[in-house]
Amino acid sequence: MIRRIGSRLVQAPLILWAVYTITFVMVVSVPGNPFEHEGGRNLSPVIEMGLRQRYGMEDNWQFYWRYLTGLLHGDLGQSLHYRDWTCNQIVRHSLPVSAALGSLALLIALFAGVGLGVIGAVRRHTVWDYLTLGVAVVGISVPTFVIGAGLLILLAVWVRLFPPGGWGTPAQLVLPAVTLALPFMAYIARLTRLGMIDVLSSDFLRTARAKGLSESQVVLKHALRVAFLPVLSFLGPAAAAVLTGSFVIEKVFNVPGLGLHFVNGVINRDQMLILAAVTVYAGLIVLFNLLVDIAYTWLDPRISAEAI
Amino acid sequence: MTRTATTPALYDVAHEARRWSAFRRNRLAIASLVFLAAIVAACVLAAAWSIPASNDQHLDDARTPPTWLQPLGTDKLGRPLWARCLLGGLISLGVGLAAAAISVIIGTGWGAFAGLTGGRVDAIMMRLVDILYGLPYILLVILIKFAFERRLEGVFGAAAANVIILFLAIGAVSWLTMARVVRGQVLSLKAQPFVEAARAGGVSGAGIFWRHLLPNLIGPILVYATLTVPQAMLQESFLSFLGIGIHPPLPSWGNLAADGLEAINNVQSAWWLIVFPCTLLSATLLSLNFIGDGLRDAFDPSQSG
Amino acid sequence: MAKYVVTVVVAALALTWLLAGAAVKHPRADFVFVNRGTIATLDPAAMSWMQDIRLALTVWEGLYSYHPVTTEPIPASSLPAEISSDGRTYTFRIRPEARWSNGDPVTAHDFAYAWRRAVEPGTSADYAFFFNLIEGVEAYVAWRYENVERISRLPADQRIVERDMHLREADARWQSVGMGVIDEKTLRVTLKRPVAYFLDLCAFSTFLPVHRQSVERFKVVGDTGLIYYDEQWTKPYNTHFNGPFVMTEWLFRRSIKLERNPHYWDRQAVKLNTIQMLDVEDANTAWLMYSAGAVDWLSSLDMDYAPELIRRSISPMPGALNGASSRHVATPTRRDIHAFPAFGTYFYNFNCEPKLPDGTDNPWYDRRVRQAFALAVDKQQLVDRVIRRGNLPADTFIPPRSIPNYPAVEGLSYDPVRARELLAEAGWTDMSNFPVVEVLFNTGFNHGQIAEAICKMWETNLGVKTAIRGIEVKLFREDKKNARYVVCRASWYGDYGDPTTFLEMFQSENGNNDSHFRDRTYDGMLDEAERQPTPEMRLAKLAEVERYLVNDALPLLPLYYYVNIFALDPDRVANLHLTPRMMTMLKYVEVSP
Repeated sequence: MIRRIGSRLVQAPLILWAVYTITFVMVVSVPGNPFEHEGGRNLSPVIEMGLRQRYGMEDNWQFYWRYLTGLLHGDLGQSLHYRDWTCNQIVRHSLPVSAALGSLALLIALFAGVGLGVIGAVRRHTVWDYLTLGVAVVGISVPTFVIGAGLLILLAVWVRLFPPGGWGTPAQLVLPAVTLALPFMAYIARLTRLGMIDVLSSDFLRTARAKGLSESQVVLKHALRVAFLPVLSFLGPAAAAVLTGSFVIEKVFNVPGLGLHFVNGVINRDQMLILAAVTVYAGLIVLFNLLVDIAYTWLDPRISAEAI
Repeated sequence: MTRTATTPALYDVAHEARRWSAFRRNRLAIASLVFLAAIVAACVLAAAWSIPASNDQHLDDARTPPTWLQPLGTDKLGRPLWARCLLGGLISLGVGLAAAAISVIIGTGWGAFAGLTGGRVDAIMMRLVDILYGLPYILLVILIKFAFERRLEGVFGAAAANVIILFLAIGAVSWLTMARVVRGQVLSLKAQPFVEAARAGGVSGAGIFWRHLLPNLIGPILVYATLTVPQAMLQESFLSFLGIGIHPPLPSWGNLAADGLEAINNVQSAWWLIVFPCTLLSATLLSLNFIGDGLRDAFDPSQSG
Repeated sequence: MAKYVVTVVVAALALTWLLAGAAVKHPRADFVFVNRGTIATLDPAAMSWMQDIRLALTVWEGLYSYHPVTTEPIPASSLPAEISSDGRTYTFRIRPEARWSNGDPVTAHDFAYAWRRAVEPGTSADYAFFFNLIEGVEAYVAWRYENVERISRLPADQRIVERDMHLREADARWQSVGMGVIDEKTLRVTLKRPVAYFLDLCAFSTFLPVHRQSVERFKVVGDTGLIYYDEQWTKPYNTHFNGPFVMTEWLFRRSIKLERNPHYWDRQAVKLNTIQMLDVEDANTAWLMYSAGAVDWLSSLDMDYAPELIRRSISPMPGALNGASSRHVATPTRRDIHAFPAFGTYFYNFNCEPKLPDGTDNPWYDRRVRQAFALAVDKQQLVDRVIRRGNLPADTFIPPRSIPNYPAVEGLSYDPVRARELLAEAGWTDMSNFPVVEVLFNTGFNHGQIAEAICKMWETNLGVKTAIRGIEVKLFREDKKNARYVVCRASWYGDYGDPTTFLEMFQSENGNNDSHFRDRTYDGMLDEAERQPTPEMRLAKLAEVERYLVNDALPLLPLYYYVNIFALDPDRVANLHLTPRMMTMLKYVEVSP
């Protein structure tokens, strides 16, 4: 196991460097001038020259190396569109927001999803099973911005149960997190349900049952542990998707997260902000995948670390 | 001897028939298939009418609820919603299918090549897949779209370029799972005796792929292709919501839903603008998912995720 | 396993709680508003967006500021200016009681410093050209640019020495520019020629003072001689303010908090204690927040259903457009929706180059063709059916009655018959060879719908083939600037209360002349206007220029005048006026609970 973790740790910086380079190439290939306003006035060429000199962006090679060396020092650069802000400041303000939103959403998805899946599997063809199916249906087929807008108007405007968007209080967390969680909850519920059904009917549990353990113990301790594995391997990509897919929710609920800044960065051709956001995301994803790998080997008694 | 070598043991007609009958017994999947076929037929056959009608503005009749004349109502410019939904369906499904097709082509090619070649090359190729898996893919879709749309415009015209770049970008990031699955299948097939027999019989690598492996890969490929389509369609809807997907006046279920979102307010409720496109989108996504599930159960019941 | 799960859950929840900043509860500010559009920068010298300017005018105060109702310039940090008899020299005495938020007195040096910063090339100020009206500035700036370029071509080891020499000389040269500090409280400005609207400019954001000692700490001298200032200085904890309010917190793309400035000289007039400005990306969400009572003032309504709200509006505020739209309902009920004319125009640019982007001859190079296309658009229909926000159709460039004492001007009104005649006169009797009329616009808002409607009109009235092309805004800006279009959409808001803010756009050398309209007659007429002896004669001459522009030359096709829409409860919020120039002075606003 140590060997595996070690090799992953060595590969991580290489992966990040590859991500940075691919992104850089795409970022400078996107047509459009980062310094040109969309407002009324045109940019004069002398001013543009001055700005480029200042930020070290006179040619792409210079830009690539300067930014890379900056990254190694933890300097994410300067936003070209919001010149009063450095990318570090922007990330520092918005990453915790996205992370909080994302992790809460994942937790909700995990617990609600697994719970629904287990209940659905154990109580097949009952109301609970159909509830699971219902959640799954809504979660995977209705776009999240529709659900979000619906919840917003239902629970924040007609019935003023929650604040209408924004960020800063616990109440403002609820609606966006639930909306974000829904598709993942649906998928996890399905995965768990299928996995549980498989396991419940397999030989694996016969020994446990023969030992005289109670049914709930059988279910929770042994069956779930196995059925959980596909869910766990889904968590890696799910975390990535939650973190990077949150911009839709961020727009609907006016949550100042990194996802929205990234999208606006692309629209504004804010090259440094785009690079900063992608690097940060990739770093987080690499980290999360590593953690998931560790958890996976720990939990699964059937798989040894060297296999896979 | 030669005849046995060219008749792979796994590609057994009877076995295939059993798989398909397993699928047929899945009533949800069949119902979904029927529904999907109906939707596709409606969108395609109505194209001759829906294309001109979808741009037919009648500003005085904007935002009218469903009536006999306008069964789904009209939108903010007085355009008939039925036409926009049908054309939108054509475009959304088109984008979804095209993206899935691209991901099939890239993914199968990649995975099969890696699996067949084995060794160092395989390791490197799959490492690349791991790296790309770790990338925030929707971000890449956005970047690819912005980087290349301009160049395509010159060749295809703005509207076509818009659609093309969208499915190219989505397809370009959706092939990863396909590659992994195909490689896994290829690896397990490679070890089968019939393949070794074919090798011994002098059949080339390409021959092995096309005649022995591909028929057995069709199952999983079909499963994942069917499951990629709804993902692609959802991604298109997110991009359209942000204003960077399918550009108006071209409709797609995604941008119809995004436009219809404004119907969810406390001033003026044009419920039909959100309900119809959303229902169509959701129903289609569901059927695709059920069909994909059904295929997966039939072709590979051992896979649970 | 259960223990493990529980620990993880608790830890995650705790982390989430902390990260969400949930610990502190903030009381609602006296006045909360949504300033549509994210703040791009809070450096007064560099800003050009309305939302930035609005905020800057709240925390800083210039020599003059805007009257809250008429937006005419009134003395603010300065006593009324003394103007010399030839109209070229202005002497400003700073109010003795004017102070910064840390107690420092406001001095003439603050203004001279801020104004020099604004013209310096390193600051990259969009509006730096305003200062060219001051004697010597234009020459100084050109000389600076020349030298920066010269130094940048030197080998690296020689640069520093050259640069330092150059900067010393720059300081010396600056002394002879027409802007001088006579004493701590007196600033004297000498203009190149008399400028009728100079005091209006003095109220504009580019002319605001900054706290010298704070800003100077962030100065960076580039090795080619460009001087810039690390924009971190605009953070509330890095600088001081001399306006009615001070900024206390700025959360990126989230909110800005303001508190009353205890050192402000006119603090008796300031009624609010705290203000919060919210940054909301989605128009629908902003409206929902207003509906839920979380926001007191929405500064613009961009949702699709905004016209519906306008139809139902019956605003009691002066200046509001009620019943102007033909689609108003019989019994309007909403007293809190206010639509009012804005100081801006939406129009189309004709490409006035001799050749089109594809190399063929440009029919619109002949102004009769331009006139024909203008005559063939029924703007009333456009406004009534497509835009429906109560806008007035535009036949002129400058919104009527928006500049005091400016004579009325009339343009071309809808006349499709005359349009066809003109085309025939220009040699176009057979329209089948006419190039495809392609309208370029940026995606979003309703530019596409407007383009489609107009194209239909041209097809019907002139028999041309049309097409529309909607592209993303950054790419649109580039195509527009470089005249890579046939017809494109455009808009312009006036920056100061004088016709030249609009009319200068079509001067041959103007950087915003995206039509590439080069007409010596036009340039000559504008110059002549500046030589007129009295303000009345000058305005009369400028009206002639506009008449020429919108009846004869027509590099543009005026379509409609913009309308602003505010949402606020007039019975709760007082002294927030509907002014076309949207220079909302929050100083006077009062909110009853």
